[in-house]
Amino acid sequence: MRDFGRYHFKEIKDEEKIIDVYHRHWFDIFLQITTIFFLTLLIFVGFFVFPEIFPDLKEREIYAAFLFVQSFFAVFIWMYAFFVWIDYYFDIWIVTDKRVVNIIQKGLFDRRVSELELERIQDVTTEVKGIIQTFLNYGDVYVQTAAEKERFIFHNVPDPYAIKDLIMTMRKKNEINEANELGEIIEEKIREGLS
Amino acid sequence: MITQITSIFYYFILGVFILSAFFIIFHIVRYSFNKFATTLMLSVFISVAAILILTNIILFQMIDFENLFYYF
Repeated sequence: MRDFGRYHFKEIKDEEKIIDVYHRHWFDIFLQITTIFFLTLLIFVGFFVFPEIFPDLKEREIYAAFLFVQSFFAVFIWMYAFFVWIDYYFDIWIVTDKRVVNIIQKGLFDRRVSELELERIQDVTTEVKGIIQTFLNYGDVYVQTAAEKERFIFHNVPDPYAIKDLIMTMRKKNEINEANELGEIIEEKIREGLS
Repeated sequence: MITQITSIFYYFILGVFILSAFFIIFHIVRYSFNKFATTLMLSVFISVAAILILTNIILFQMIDFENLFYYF
């Protein structure tokens, strides 16, 4: 099991233990990363190639402007890369021994945090759609609660089957713990009644 | 005149970049749940962004817009 001691999840409750933390599968941002990579490559290639293709760029004034445009483009790409990264990295699902927490980050100014107690979970379904998802083993996990319409979705997470198994196992453990606690309380009450 | 208009436009966009950088730092500091990742992300982002923005300002100031527009 991975060490989650380093994780500082603000809303963590007393004696609650983080079991696992999930991000979206890397392929989900692959297209954006590829775009960033090619734009960066364009800057580097452009630095050497453009002055050869357009000899006017070698003029002192125009060359300064050309370098400025390249630099401006680089700043833009750097910012964009971190926007993409924040959108990906802060989109997380946390499974603890008490509940499942869903944090959805959309851009910089849209963040939603929702949670679901394990005891409220009724059914967990996985969905792996298409060739890419099948080969890379990622997809959605739907967690159905007792309430008819309420559904908790893990979007494009790696190894959805393992997540499903983990949630179901944690739910069962939680159920057993609760039953044991209840049994202890009843036992204590009976003893009190007898004495 | 051209230099002034270009400068105003440039510094406005630069302001947007700096504001964006501020929001990125804010998100990393506030929402990160892993100290090591926070330190790593902040150091990489701030150092590279600072170098890129400073270089960009220096390069902008090196451009002689009056002469540049004369070429066109």
